[in-house]
Amino acid sequence: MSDAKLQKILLQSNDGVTIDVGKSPPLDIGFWRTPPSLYRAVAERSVLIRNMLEDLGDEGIGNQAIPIPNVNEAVLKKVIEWCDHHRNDPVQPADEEADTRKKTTDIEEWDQKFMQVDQEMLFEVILAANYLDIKPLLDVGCKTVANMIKGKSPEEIRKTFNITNDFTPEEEEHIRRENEWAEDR
Amino acid sequence: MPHQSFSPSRPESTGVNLLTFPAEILRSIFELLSPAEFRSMCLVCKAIRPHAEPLLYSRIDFAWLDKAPPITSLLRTILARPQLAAHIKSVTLGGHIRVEVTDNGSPYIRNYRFVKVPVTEEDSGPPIAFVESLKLSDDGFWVQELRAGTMDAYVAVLLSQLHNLRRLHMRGHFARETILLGTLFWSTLCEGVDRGLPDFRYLEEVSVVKEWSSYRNTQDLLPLFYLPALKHMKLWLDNPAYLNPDTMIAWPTGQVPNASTLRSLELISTREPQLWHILAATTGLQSLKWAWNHDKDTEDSVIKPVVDLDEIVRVLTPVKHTLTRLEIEAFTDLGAPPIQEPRLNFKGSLRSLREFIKLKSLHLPLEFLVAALSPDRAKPFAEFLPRFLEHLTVQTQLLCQDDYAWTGPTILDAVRPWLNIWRDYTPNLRVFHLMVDLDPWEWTDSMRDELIELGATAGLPIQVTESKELKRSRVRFANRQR
Repeated sequence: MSDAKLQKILLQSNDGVTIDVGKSPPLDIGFWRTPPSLYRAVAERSVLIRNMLEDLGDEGIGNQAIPIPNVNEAVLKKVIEWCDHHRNDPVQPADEEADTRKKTTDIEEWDQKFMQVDQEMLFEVILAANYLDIKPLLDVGCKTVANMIKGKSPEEIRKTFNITNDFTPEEEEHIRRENEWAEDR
Repeated sequence: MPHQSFSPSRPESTGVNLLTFPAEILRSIFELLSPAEFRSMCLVCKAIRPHAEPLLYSRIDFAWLDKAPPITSLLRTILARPQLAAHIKSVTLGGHIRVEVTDNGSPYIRNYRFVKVPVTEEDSGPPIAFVESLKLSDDGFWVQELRAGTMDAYVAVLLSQLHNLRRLHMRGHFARETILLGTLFWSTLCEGVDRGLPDFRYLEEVSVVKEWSSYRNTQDLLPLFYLPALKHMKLWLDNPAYLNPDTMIAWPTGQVPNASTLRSLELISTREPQLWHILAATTGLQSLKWAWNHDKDTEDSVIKPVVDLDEIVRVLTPVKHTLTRLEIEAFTDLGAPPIQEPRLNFKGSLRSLREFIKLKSLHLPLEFLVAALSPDRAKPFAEFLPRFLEHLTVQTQLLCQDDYAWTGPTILDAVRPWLNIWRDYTPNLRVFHLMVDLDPWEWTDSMRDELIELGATAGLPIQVTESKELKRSRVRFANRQR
């Protein structure tokens, strides 16, 4: 497909805001704008959007915004920021991905900073990545949450995620005894 | 998923939190955690527990070193809640036996005294009730061993609960006694009576490797060949010298099992007559690793101190049309400390290996390939090699201190003529790999360089791997020479 044919890609969040994929932060700073040829690379980090764009065809894209009914403006902008930074990442083959993801919770520096947001935004980004089918972003989100759990006691985990303990002391003791065999691990 | 256990931190919150995540996202997060964290997650709240439990129970990994692992407390839990046993897919029972040698030279097991599990009535009660519920024709021995704290009896009860098991690995103390393990697999795979035991339809990977040959285990482990989905197996399988020499291997059903799903098999200690019977059952086998072991304690009419190479190839013929990878390592008195190695003699040759046309990778001791301990009696080996061979690995693993032992110059003499003709016999050969474990005065840097150079001239890449012992003693030897 030729660059001349490329249109802007517009997404519409569930709160009715239209977002130009080429104008996502941080690229909107100053005079530099994402050239049109990159719109697709950014948007296509999402398998859901890639499939939609394929279905629409070049003609269909036009200036019509694609509705993203499950994601609000703030989260959608955040997700586009990630896609923009990672637009040139190589696509990992499916099984290799599954393999490496399980073994490590290491997160590259840019992604770590990107994920330094309040917990609600972190969870919203994970849900959006799941909905939009952006596997690498979902993985970064899951690793971030896993790292918040690692090495913590049940009470510390509850505190971290603001969860109320709904076990009675007897139930708690029963579960502890049930899983006693795993204590040395 | 219930929400009631969450109290939002911010009034303006959209309500998104860990507990509202779809199950597949929670699973992706939890899979990144360790067993200790699964245990903590089970205790966080009612909504999290069902997501953490399957992961906590999916892999049972016990190591038995100085202290017996808490198998009785695991059994207490899964006998009370069988749904937890359904999560168990992998069982690894490991830990090494420490063998030491006394002053008078006889070996003993240092941590032998820990071999029983300390059990109370409370521990043995539910497993005994389970065994009695099976209505076996004779459960007396199993019950008695449970009371005595025999690990084999508890492992057999554990495995009896696991309907979704995919992998089972046992070694060290866990593999010392396997009578009841054998009883379980016999009952479920060979007996033909439905006792509600698992049929192990998902069990693909099994290893049972002891480190000490004190117990004879062949009859215990043969039922494993009847596993319906078996793909990979590694066994230390003893030579049942006491069995009828005509049948050699007594298959537990009286019929040869159909182990055609088995792709890779690693056998330790089994000798030629038994191997033939086993390979007759493994009709789809692609990879065989065989630790050939001459144990002088079991020398008898079957096991002679003669390496009959014709016989070795003959017993491999049942898998002649499927085997792509063959590795043979040779040992004497495997598992025992080297006291005095027996002298072995060779006869015959590997000539018929040429008929294994699918074989692409071959790994052999040098003596097996050239058919003698004495270099002047060595045979040209080009014509023994399978025609479509791609990788040849040869190990200088000298079987005994012999007057005619191979050394660097004689190895070079044996390889040199082959390098002139290798392409005529094995056109697909890509690499010749020599693994050297000789003394530093028998194998020097310059010999290694000369061999690699010979390969370069002949157009065959040659790799040389020297053992750690050789490298270490070369340094010591060089220092002494100075």
